[in-house]
Amino acid sequence: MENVLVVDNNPVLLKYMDSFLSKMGYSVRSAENGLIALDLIENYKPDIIFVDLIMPYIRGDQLVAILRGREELADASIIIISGVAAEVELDYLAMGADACIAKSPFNSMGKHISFILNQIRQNGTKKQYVPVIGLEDVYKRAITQELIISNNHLKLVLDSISDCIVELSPEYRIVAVNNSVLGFLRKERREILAKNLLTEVHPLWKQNLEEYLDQIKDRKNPSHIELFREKEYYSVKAEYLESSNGDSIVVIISDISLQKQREENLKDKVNEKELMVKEVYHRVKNNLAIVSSIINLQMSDTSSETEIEVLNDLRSRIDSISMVHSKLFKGKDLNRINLDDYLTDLVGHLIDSLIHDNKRISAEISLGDINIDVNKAVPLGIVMTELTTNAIKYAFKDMESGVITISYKIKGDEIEIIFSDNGNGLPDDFSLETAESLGVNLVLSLVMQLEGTINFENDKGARFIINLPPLD
Amino acid sequence: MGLYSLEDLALEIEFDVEDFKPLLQLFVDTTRDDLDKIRLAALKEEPQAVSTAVHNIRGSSLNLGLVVISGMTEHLSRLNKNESFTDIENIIRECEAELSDLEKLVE
Repeated sequence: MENVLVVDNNPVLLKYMDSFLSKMGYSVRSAENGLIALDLIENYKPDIIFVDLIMPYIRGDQLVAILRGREELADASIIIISGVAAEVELDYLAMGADACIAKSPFNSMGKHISFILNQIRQNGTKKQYVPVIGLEDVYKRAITQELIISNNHLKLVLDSISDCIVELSPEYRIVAVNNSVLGFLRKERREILAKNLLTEVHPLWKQNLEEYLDQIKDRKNPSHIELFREKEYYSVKAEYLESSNGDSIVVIISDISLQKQREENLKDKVNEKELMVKEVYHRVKNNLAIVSSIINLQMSDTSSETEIEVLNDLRSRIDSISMVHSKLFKGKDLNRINLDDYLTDLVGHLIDSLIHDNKRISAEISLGDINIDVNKAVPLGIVMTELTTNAIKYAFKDMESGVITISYKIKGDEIEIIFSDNGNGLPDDFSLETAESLGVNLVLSLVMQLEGTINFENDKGARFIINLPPLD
Repeated sequence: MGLYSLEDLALEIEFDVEDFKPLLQLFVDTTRDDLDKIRLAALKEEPQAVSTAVHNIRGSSLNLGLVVISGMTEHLSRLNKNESFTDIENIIRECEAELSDLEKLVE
C-alpha cells in the first residue's frame, strides 16, 4: 500500500482527503503544518505528498524545497494542492513539485486527484504534470489576489532589509526568514527552516538567547540583548505575536558592530581627554606647589614678622587653590570635588601649618555629600582659608584649645554654610563692611562672586553664615 | 435553509451519507471556531485576522459546495475591506443560523 502524506491547515480538507484517499487504497497521514510534516517524515516515508501553499509555520513552497532536498524522498511525488493556483501563476516545477491541483469543490477536486494518482500509478513517480489541473472549476477571488500582492510586497521589503528577521514557532523552530538570515547563518533556506534557532546560532549565543526568548515567551517584555560573534556585535530584539493561526516569535538581529566601534572610539577619545585634563590639573597643582615653595623660601629669608605673616597668608591662599587641583587630579569626576573631603584636608592643613605652639585646635567638618563645581570650589576654598586663618590667629588667644566647626543646612534652593569657632568671639565693633583687611575684603568679594551673602554673629564664639545658590 | 439535503450534499462529492456526516460536522465545528475568531478580531478591529478566518471558511464551504455560506463570506470580506466592523456581527449571526441548520442535517 502506498503512503500518502497530506499537509494542509484546513481540517475539513484533511478529513476529506483522508476519507477519499483511503477509499482509493492509500495509507494516509495528515499534518496541519510544515513543522508537523517534517517531524512526521523523520520516521515515515511517504510515496506521495500533497502540500498546501498558504499555511502557518513554514510556507508550502518552502516546505516543498525542504522535502525535495531530502535524499530519502527523492522518488516521492509532491503535489501542490492550493487555492492560490487560481489567483497567481505558479511555477510549481521550479519549486520542486511534480503537479499542481487547484483547490475547488470536492466533487471536481476529487476527480483531479484521481487523475493525477492514476497517472502516477501508470507512469511512475518521476513524471511531472503541466499545467495546473482544475483551474476551470474555480474562480478568481479579488480579495485573495490582493492578499497575495500585499504579501509579495511585504516579502520584497523584508528581503531588502539588512537586518536579519526570523519568525519562530513557540518552540523556537525557524518557520520563516528573510534573505539576510541566509548570509548571517551562511546556509540555504531549506537547511535552516524547521530547525531550532538555538542550534543554528553561534554556540556562545545559545544560553543568553535562550534565556531572552524564554522571557519573551513569558511576556516579560525585555528590551533587547547584545551578543558577540567573531569580532562582530549584534543586537537581538524579539516580539511575541499571538495569532488565531498559531502564535509566533519574531526575532530581529541587527549588526551593531559599526555602532559599537564608534562607541569605543568615542570612549577612547573621552578617556584621552580626561587624561589630558587630569594632566593639566596635575601640572597646575605642581606649579602652585612651586609657587608655595618659593614663598616658603622667601619667608625663611626674612626676619620681619609682618612680612612672614603676609607671606604665610599668601601661601595658604595658594595652597587652598592647589588642593582643589590635587583633588580634581585624584578624583573620578573631572569637574567636581567633594566639599567635605576638600575642606577637611584644607582646614587640617591650615591648622598644621599655622599652629607653632602647644595650642590644640581641632576641626569638626560636617558637609554631608555635597559635591562642588571646580569654578566654585576655588573661591569657596579661599573664603574658608581666610576664615580659618583668622580663627587660628585671633579666636583662641589665651586659650589652650579650640574647635573650628563647619556645617551646612539646606534652605529651599539655597545652601547655608556655617563657619564657627568656640573662641573669644569677634570684637564688638567688628563689621564686614568697614573692615579694611585684605582677608575680609577677599571673603566679601569672593562670596559676591559666588552670588551669595555672608553674615556674622557672636554666639559662644564667632559664627559666619554664608548663603549660597546650589553649588553643583 | 431548505437549500440542502444531506443526501444531495454527500452525493455532490461522491461520498456515502455516513461518510459525509463527520465531514459536515467537522465543517460546522471549525466554522463556528472561525466565526468566533472573526467576532473577536472585529471587536479588536484587526482586519488581517478577520481576513484569515474568512478565508478559511470560504475555502471549506466552496469545497463542500455550500454556496450560501460561501456567499456570506464574500459579504464578510467586503465589510472587512471597508472596515465596517460593527456590521460584521449581523453576518456572523446569519452564518451561525445556517450552521445550526446544517447541524440538524447531521443529527
